[in-house]
Amino acid sequence: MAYQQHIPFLSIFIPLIFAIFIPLFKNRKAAKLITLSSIIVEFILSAILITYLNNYEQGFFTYQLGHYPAPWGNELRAGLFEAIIALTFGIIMFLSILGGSKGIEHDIKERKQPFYYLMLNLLLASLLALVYTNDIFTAYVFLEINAVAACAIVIAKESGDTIKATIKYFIMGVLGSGLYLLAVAILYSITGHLLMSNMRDAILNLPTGYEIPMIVAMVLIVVGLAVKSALFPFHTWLPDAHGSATSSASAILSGLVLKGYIILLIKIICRVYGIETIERLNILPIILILGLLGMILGSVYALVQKDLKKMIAYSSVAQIGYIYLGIGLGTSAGLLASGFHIIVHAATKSMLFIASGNFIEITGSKKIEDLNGVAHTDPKSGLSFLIGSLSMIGIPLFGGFVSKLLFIDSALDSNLSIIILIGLAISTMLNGMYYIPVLLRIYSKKDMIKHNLEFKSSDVVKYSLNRLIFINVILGIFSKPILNAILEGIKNLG
Amino acid sequence: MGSLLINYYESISVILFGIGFSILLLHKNLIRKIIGMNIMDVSIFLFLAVKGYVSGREVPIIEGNIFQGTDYYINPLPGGLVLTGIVVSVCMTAFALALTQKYYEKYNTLDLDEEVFRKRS
Repeated sequence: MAYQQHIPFLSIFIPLIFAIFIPLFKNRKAAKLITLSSIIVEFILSAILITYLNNYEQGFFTYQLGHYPAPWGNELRAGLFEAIIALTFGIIMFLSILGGSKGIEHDIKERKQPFYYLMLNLLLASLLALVYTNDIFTAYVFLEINAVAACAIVIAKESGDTIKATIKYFIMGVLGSGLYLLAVAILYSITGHLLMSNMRDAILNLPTGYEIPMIVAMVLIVVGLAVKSALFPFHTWLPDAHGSATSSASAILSGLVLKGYIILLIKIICRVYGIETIERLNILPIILILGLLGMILGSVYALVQKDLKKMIAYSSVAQIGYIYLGIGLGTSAGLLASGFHIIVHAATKSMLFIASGNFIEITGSKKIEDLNGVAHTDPKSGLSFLIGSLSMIGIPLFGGFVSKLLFIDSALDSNLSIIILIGLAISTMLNGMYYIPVLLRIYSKKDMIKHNLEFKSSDVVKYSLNRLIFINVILGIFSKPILNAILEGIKNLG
Repeated sequence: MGSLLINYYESISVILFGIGFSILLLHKNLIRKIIGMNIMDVSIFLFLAVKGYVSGREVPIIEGNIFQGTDYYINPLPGGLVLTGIVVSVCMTAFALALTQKYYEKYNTLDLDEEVFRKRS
C-alpha cells in the first residue's frame, strides 16, 4: 500500500489528536497555533492526496480500519471528489479563523477561547469523517459530534441571542440525526450491511416488495440531512444561528458545516442506492422542487432583512437551494454543478461573513441602514464584499458565474427545464436586488455617521481577505482543471 | 395492517419514535424536549435490538471453546450499534442540559417561547 493511502485516516485523526493538547496548555495563543497548524497539516496532506489520486488508475481506494476485511470491518474511501472537498474545507477554515481572529478575541471570553479552538478541531475532524467514511453508522456518530461542535462554536459568544439560536439549532440538529438513525436502522435491517458499497450490492439483489421500506428510508435520510443543512422548509434555525455567532463561526458554519451533510447525502444517493435505483423510487423530483423553492424563497426572505448578517444567512438558504437543485437533477452534470457550487459558496460566503464582521466592528451596529460609507473606512473589506456579492449574483469573472452556467447547462437536459430556468432567472434577479443596495450603501459618502475612525484592520485579516479574493477570482477564471477533476471524482463516487 | 401486528415490536418502536419526535419539536418546555429526545433515541435502540434477536437462539458467546455453528447464535452487531448509540445519546443529553442551564441563567425560564425574547429585548 502506498503511503498516500493513509492520508484519509490521518487527516481525520490529526485534528482529534491536536484537540487533546489544547486543554493542556490553557493558553489562547497556543490553542490558536495548534489549531492553525493542524489545519495546515490537513491541507498539505489533502494536496498530496489529490496529486496521488490524479495518477491513480482505479480512481479511488478503500482504507481498511482495524483487522477485519470488507463486509465486517470499518472502512474509509477516498476519491478525487472527496480529496478536493477536504482541501477546500482546510483552506476555507484556515482563512476564516485568521479573518475572524479579531472577532474571536472581542466576542469570546479569554478563558473560553482555548475551548473554541478545540471545538474547531473537532469540527474539522468530524467534517472530514463525513467526507471520507464508507460506513453509514460511523457517519451517524460523526453527525452528532459535528452537531455538538457546531452548537458549541455558536454559543461561545454567550450573548442572549446566541443562546436562543444555539438551542434552536441543537433541537433541529437532533431531530435531523434522529431521522437519519432511524433510516440507518431500516436500511441495516433490509440489507444486513453497514458499509456503503456492500449495501449497494445487497440493494441491487433485493427481491421485489422492498420498495416501500426503501422509499421510507430514503425520505428519512433526505429529510434528516435537509434539516441539518437548512434546505428551504427546514431552514428556520439557520438565520438565527449564523446571524448571531461570531464572524469566524458564521463563516465556518455556512461555508463548511452545511456542506458536510450535503456531501454525505450525495454519497448515500450515489453509493448506497445508486442513481438508477433512486430514479426508480421517484425521490429526486422532490429534492429538485424543494431546491427550487429554497432558492427563490430564501432570496425573498433575504430581501426583507434589516440585519446585515441575517441577510447573508438567508442568502445561504438560497444557495443551499441551488446545490439541492443540482442533486435533484440526478445527472452527472447536475452533480458537477452542485460540487462546484459547494466550493464556490464556501469561498464566497466565508469572505462575506468576515467582511461584514469588520463592517459591524466599524459602525458598532448590525443594521444595514447604518452601513453608509464603511468601504471607505476599510477598503479591503469593502472590496471583498463587492467581489463576494458579485460572485453570488453571478457576474462573469467570479466563481458564482461559472456555477450558474453549469446549473443552466445541466437543467437543459431535464424534463422540467423551463421551470428550472425561470427559477434560476428569478433567483438571480432577487440576489441582485438585495446585494446591490448594500453595495451602493457601503460605497456612498452620504451621512457617514459615528464610524469608529480609529479602526484599522490588522495584517492577518488583510492577508486572509486577499487570499479569499484570489480564490474567488481563480474559481471564476481558471475553473477548467477544477471542473475536470470534480467530474473525474463524481464518476468514481458510486 | 396484518404485517404491522406481526412485527409489533417494530411498529411500537416507530410509534414511540413519533411520540418522542413530536415532543422534541412541539413542546415549549426545554426539559420536556430533552425527555422527548431520549424517547426518540431509545425507540430506535429498541428497533435495532429487535432486529438483532432471532427467537430460539442463544447469546453470541462461545463457551468452553465449542462453536455451535452460525445457526445457534443471535446477531450481535445491532447490540454493538445500540451501545454506541447509547453513548452518543448520553452525550447529547448532557450537552442539552448544559444549554438549558445557560438558557435558564439568561432568561430565568425554561420555556422556549418568542414571548420571552420579546420581553427581554
